[in-house]
Amino acid sequence: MKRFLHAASAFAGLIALPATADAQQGEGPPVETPGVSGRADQSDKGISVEFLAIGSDGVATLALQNTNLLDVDDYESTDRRKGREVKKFNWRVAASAPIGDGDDFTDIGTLDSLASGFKFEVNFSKSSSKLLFADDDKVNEWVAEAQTYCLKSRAAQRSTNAATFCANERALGDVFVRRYLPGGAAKLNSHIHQGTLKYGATASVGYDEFSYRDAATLLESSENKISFEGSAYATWLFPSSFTSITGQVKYQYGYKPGDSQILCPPNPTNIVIQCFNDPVGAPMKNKGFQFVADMRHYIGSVFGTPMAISPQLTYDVSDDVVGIDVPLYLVSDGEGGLTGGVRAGWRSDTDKFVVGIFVGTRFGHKTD
Amino acid sequence: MALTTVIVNVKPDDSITYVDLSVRNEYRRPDGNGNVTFQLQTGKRHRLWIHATGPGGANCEIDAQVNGTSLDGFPTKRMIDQGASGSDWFQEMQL
Repeated sequence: MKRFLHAASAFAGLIALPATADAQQGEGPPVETPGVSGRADQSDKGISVEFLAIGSDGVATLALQNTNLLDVDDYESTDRRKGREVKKFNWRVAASAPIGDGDDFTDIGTLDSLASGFKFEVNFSKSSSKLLFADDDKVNEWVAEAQTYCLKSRAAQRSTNAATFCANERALGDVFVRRYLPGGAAKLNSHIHQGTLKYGATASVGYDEFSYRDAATLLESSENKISFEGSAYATWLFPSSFTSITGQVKYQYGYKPGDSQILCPPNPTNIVIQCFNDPVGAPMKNKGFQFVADMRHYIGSVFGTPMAISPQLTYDVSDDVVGIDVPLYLVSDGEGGLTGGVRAGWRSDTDKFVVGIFVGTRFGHKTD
Repeated sequence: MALTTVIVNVKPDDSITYVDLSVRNEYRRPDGNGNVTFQLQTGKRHRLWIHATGPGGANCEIDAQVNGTSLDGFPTKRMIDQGASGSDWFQEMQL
């Protein structure tokens, strides 16, 4: 089993420059003033500088990013419930480089030509979240149901102060519903959220050194190559807010190493010789379109361990190659994030399959 | 109808990109100091909803005060669900 580390996106630190709070004054009492107020026109957040993730064989990333609130509009659902639509714009500039020169397995399942070298990327995205105001009657029902479950739970534990205990728990607000009503968290989320759509584009430049061996002379050489990639994507975060799907189209103009072979010098006298197992010949152009589909899903607690999964399927049109990458997140950072686990990768052209552990990559949705 | 002025103060983590507060069918966004003012009917129970967007694990502290005194259940600190991209919380306010 080969081991690989992919550490592209966990925090090693975060420096917020002018991290301002939301900057719009509410106006008028809600019980008296009809219509939606508190509209915001401009920027919410300052530019943040992130120093992202380090692993011994991982990737270090330095990123600048900024999120601006574009607008908040009135929204009404098909069943006439009122709410608001929050629109945001985000840009991000990032530079990343692998740490160490160990084997790189990150491109096995992702078919990413730029994964193994220095990369500079610029990303722009817009998002739109539709949110509804809660239906008090419906929420009251759930609170009452949660109360029933709470009392049953205490009765099962032969508690003598069930009523007092549950009254105190009820004071926790939504936590009471999430804690005691089966499926309460998903019910509350789906009652408010109508989903989030985010779409954007990314342009990347990569720089990588390819070492190879000449088949005739057995001499080792290397070439530095610059690669380019452009991509556009759209992500849909489902109302439960625990599952998202992303569709992406990419164009890569990059390079890939020649096939590895075992090369040995002529040995007419049958003595002990040194052979080499290296890529043979100069790197080859690797260009064309790729289609990528991925899903991110927070599974929840399984035997007391929080888990998430984010399978990704990539189809390289020009090479007719399929890649599958399946990280399963199992390791919690103790602060509410999942930052490691096991990962399986496979690609159809070489039928190469790898399984290993990864650390440093934080689970999240592309709408975060 | 007597009204009580409730001042809600919000302190979101830097990674939280949007916060608003709502009571019934109205929402407010915090001012530069993180404050939102509601005028609500005295003697009633009101449900304050907090919507925050950000990565799982991001925290948001909320305090609701009347005449400088925190209401029962406040201050409270809430964390965006692990694996979620935003959260909606509510806390009831008895005025």
